[in-house]
Amino acid sequence: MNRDLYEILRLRRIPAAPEGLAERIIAEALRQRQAGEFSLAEFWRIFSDGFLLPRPAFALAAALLIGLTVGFGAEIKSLFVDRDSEAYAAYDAVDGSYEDGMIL
Amino acid sequence: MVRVKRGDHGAFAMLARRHANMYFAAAYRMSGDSHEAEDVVQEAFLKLWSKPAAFDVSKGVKFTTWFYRVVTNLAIDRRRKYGRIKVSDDIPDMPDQSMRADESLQEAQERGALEAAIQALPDRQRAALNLCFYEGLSNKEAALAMGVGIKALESLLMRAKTALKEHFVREGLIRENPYNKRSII
Repeated sequence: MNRDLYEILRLRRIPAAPEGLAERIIAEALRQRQAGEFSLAEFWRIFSDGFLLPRPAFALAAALLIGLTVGFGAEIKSLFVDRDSEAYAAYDAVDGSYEDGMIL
Repeated sequence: MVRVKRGDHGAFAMLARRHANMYFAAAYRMSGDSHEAEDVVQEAFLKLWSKPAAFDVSKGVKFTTWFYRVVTNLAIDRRRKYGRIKVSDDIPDMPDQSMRADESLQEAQERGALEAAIQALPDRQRAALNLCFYEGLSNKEAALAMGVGIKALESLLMRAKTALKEHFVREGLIRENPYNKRSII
């Protein structure tokens, strides 16, 4: 078939707008408030719109999984390593310049 | 718009009645689904109502151009958030009475293939094609609506047309002229 691209592009058809679309919009706007008046629902809508995640459920599940993996994989380190506390005690006994138990 | 900014609901109603259908068509061209297009248009107008200050009259941009930007960006954002909607079957069949029945069916199938191909384009290419070819905006207006330079817009347009042409050549809807590599008119 001899056709050019523009001929095919011109085939495109758009369905008619639904009946009463403008009136529904107008009615909904009447129910809403304009900016300046605090609305908790509006605040939450704007807040959640700031986090446009693709596939939000998967993204959050993946983040939770990664967080749990990193958390359980990390070593729990104590504040004082036994070897360090022994060295400190030894220094304190020899030098005597620090008060017992003081960490500098 | 000045009156809308002052909270004049009557002025907002006038804007909605005047433009809702036009922007429904624009939203449909971006999303390919009439329910989604209706949601996009409603959300765009309600954003306008709740935050009319977003439109700066002093910048000299036409309201219609600016609102194309709102609708286009909203359609793209919703697609990224909710995923692409399968092209609906609600494209009306308008058979030409002068054509044979099999020719009308073929045209309907071609329309379906065309819509699917356009919806498969990257968002910005689809937006450029819709604004320039279907909405009838000038390159300057379309570039403003998309927030890009004119050269960038022309590049997007060219890529969209190239992608569509290659697709239709593969589908056999366009026959490529082997001598000068241009499609046969």
